[in-house]
Amino acid sequence: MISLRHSIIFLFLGFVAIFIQGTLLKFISPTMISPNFLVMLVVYLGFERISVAGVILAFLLGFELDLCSAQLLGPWAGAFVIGFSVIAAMSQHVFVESPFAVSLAVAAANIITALVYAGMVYEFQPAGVISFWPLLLESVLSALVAPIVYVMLKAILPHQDKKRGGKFSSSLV
Amino acid sequence: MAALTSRAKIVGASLALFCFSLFLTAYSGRNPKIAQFGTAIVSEVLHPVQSVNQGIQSGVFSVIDHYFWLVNVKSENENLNSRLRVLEAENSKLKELYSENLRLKELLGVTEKTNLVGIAADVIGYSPSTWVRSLTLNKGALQGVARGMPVLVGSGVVGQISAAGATSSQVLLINDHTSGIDAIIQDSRTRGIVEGADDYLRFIYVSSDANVKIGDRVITSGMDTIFPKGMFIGVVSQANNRENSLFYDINVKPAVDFSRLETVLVVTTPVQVESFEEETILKDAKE
Repeated sequence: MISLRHSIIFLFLGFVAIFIQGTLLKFISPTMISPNFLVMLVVYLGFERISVAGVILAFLLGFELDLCSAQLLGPWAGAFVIGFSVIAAMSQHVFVESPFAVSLAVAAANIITALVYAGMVYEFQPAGVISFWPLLLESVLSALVAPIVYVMLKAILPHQDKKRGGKFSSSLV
Repeated sequence: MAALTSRAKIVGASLALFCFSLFLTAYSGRNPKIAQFGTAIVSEVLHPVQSVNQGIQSGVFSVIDHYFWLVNVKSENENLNSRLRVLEAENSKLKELYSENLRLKELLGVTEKTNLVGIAADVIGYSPSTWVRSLTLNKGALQGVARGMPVLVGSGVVGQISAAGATSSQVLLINDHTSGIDAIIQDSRTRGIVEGADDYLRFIYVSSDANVKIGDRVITSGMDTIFPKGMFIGVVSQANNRENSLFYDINVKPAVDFSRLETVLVVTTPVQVESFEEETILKDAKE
């Protein structure tokens, strides 16, 4: 379960991530590819908050990013739902406390969400929107930053229930 | 059993939300105003924070550039240094004003040369997504900015307004994959479409019979009713005429360095469409 307070904090963190990605880092160098903090939030949800509320939060995080793009509403929301599902399914096979696992999951989630996004916008942008090197660089950067962000998220949003992941978590294989 | 139900609920919710997002994508693709409305609201919410951030950052950069290097000077020069700091700060401010003056003059030059009327706006943010090339301006509908207005700088075309909030607006850059401009090669008057391709532009639908060479200047044709005619887009950087192909494979280097944009001109004058066919007939007749 995710409390309403945590959900609101999570959505606020989504806007903070958008602000950091779109303003702070891009002003230092607009051509620079920045780490994808939103994907880190999705990975955190997929590892730590496997529930229906987690899926909805992943959807809303993507929707926030869609709102900032002024193009289409929905592709990032859909991509983040898929990203969440894949990470949630993966979470039982990896030691989620390991920074390496977090990095790997963030890199994988970044690639998966980008590919799903490209697939979803294909009808409107058939030329393709994803380029290999920027995607790889973004994934590597995100993977490098992810363990720190993950620790911060765990500190900001501590688990309310003692059993990590709840009942569902232990059965999701 | 309960775990199984919970798992089914999550899978069901994921599927339902994914289908809903597919529907939303298709719906907003056919009704772009919906996405633009949402963006305008978010843009308005983020606008004050972005503006403050821009101010702080330019202050910080100014301090880094003009102040920090003085920290390690000898103590006997402290008095002189404090005076120097004040002067440096003033100098930095003057330099900033001078550079702003230059940028505005450049924009004024555009309006004078082209008789276009526009609004100067500052760039206060960029797209948070790597795959969307857009930026946020500090002027919106209250200042006269509306969707579809072209955005220029002295060196060339920047993009067009894709969503306008009350006090801020979004610009879709010409190097975004969804951007397309009706363009011509300045010398040969060969017509085609310039579309975005990340760091460069592609000039497509140019007949393989046309004469295109590296270094040719590509300008707007004015036929798309968005961009005024004759605005500089970029220079042909690569032109391949493949065998058995109907069209050229042309890359264009944008005239504008999108990473260095600070002040831009939003053109508010409606674009007059000039007959391209008429011009072509005249050109043929001259030849």
